[in-house]
Amino acid sequence: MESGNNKRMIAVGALAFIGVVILVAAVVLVYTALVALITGIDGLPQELTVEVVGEEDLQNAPVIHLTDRDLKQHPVLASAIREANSNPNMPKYASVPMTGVECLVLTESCGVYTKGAPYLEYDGVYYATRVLLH
Amino acid sequence: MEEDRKPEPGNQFKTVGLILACVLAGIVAVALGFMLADALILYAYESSGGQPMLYVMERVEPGENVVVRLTEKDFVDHPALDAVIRGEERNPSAWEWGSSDRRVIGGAQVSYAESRALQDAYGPDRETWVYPHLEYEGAYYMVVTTWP
Repeated sequence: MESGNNKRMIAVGALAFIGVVILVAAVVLVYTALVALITGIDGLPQELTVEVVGEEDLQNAPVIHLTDRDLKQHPVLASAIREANSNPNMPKYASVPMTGVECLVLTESCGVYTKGAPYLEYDGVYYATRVLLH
Repeated sequence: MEEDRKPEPGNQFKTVGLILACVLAGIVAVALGFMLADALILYAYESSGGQPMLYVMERVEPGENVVVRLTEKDFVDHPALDAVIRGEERNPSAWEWGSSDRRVIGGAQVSYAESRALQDAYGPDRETWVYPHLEYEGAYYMVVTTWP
């Protein structure tokens, strides 16, 4: 009788353990899937486009002179400028994806998404910027 | 007959105990699942090579927003915030007060965990999505973080 009870308790314990493991796995799977879905939603996908322009195109337009520190603090801009310079086509340009927050920050620091956006200058090269919404 | 009925209350206690144990185990399993999933997600992001950033914007006036006074504890808890507001990462943009009454005063690279911690501490209200304004030495700041 005692032995039968013990066996039943062991079976219940094993089932409970398996149940807990399955529950943990299910929560992990559902939660990670939900987070992956939600983090993909960050408003409209946006792109920062930079194009190399000649000094003669500036025509007294405002110019922001960028420093190495600026590029370190704005990796999206750094990446766009780097890609534009390595583009063999003429005119040299590049588009890089960015998030809504990055667009806001670049707008407030370099005016990229404003009417009559200023030109940017880095290392003697001038750039025109545009923001593309998809 | 009475002798047979005696074990019943004991069995009932056992059944109730078993159900309670199962419920408790279920709650612990769900909590453990969330913690494990959270740790996995963070680990995956940290290994992705992405570069989350902390940016601090200064506002001329706080407007109607909630104002939170920054203390030394905030700076100790969040060294990146300290570096941007009063340290080596302070680098006000050349586009001074550009198109509105706010300007970016600097940014710093942070880990994903720190990006989330900053968002939780100084991010927008979950219902109204209005950012609190942080006041330090008479200036008002807004903290935004990226999660690339």
